[in-house]
Amino acid sequence: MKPRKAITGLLLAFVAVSFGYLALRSVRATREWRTPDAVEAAARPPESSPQTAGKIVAYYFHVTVRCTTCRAIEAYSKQVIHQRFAKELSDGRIEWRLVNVQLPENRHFIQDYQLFTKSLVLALMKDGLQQEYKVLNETWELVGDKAALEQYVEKEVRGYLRKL
Amino acid sequence: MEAPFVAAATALWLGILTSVSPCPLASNIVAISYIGKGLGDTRRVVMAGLLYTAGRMLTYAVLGALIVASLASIVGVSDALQRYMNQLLGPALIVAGMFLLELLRWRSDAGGVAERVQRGADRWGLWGSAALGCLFALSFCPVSAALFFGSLIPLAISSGAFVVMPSLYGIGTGLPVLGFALLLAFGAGAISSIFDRVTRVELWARRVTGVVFIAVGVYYSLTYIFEVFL
Repeated sequence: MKPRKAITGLLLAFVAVSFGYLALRSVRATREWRTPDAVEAAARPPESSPQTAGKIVAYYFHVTVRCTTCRAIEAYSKQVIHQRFAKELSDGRIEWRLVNVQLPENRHFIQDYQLFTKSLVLALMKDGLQQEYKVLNETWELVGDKAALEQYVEKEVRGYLRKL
Repeated sequence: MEAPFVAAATALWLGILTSVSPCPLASNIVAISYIGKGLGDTRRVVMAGLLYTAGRMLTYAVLGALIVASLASIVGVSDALQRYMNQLLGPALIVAGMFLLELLRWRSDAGGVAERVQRGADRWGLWGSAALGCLFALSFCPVSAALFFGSLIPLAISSGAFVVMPSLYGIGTGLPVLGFALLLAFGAGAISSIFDRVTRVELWARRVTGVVFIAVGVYYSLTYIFEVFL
């Protein structure tokens, strides 16, 4: 009987600690919350380099807990951009950014880009201002076919490069 | 005539695609063990499987209809469900597992009532499959969120079938689990009838289900609350 009681107590304690930790985290998140002005300043894209009139920012938005499929999409997308657009990356026409939207200062991206899951987003920037953006949702349907996903990402990036 | 059929098949396929992806694996294991726990009684397993699928179907249909009717924002719903449901799922599964293992019990002191309570619990066990279907459907993971909000909802809007498409998607998400549970039940049922120890097999099946619930609950808590497995 004793081990049974011990297991019950242990599991109930684990459940209680889980809820306690959740509450603590939510209090901490509220404390770490910064004013919208500070958030905007932190999120503001850096000025375009003098050699280029504009650039494309390729964002990969994720949360703290990373799933296998999310990691695959991130890896394939990063590979396409770093291998097939190495020149554009080095001259500043393309920028790769990894953003954790779970951090309080990055949560505004969820509304900005209407994100409903971990996403690859292309943003066209001119004179420091965003002109347009596209959320590449099809990556989720193509993730099982690496070649097709890479082709899709490349096509979308090339399309945006033509608009620069 | 062809377009609605293609749209319907796509909705069903999106559901299957969601279910066989790695991210709902833990919840699928829980669902299979719960549905398949009535090993000796294949009719009960079929009923539990159908109710589990119906629970998923209903949840997606209601959610889809709310979103299409613009009563809920896709971003708001998706963000809230992904943030909170997975966090609550861990402790909920642990407590449910404790009930299955009878580490926790409903109190019933009155004599004679015990039998009725037991019958009620058995019935709840069957309806519990539907509740589990609803709960898991609401616990969106990145894959299900991407395919439901990103692919299924636009499909439902373009085809005009606001309830049918999400329902078909729900059936798709339940099919692999249902199939697996049936295989398990028929296989184990055959073995148990050979040995004529149905009751004993069922007892162990329930214990295994309880342990699976607790193990997956701990996994969910460690992942989504304590963020241990990143």
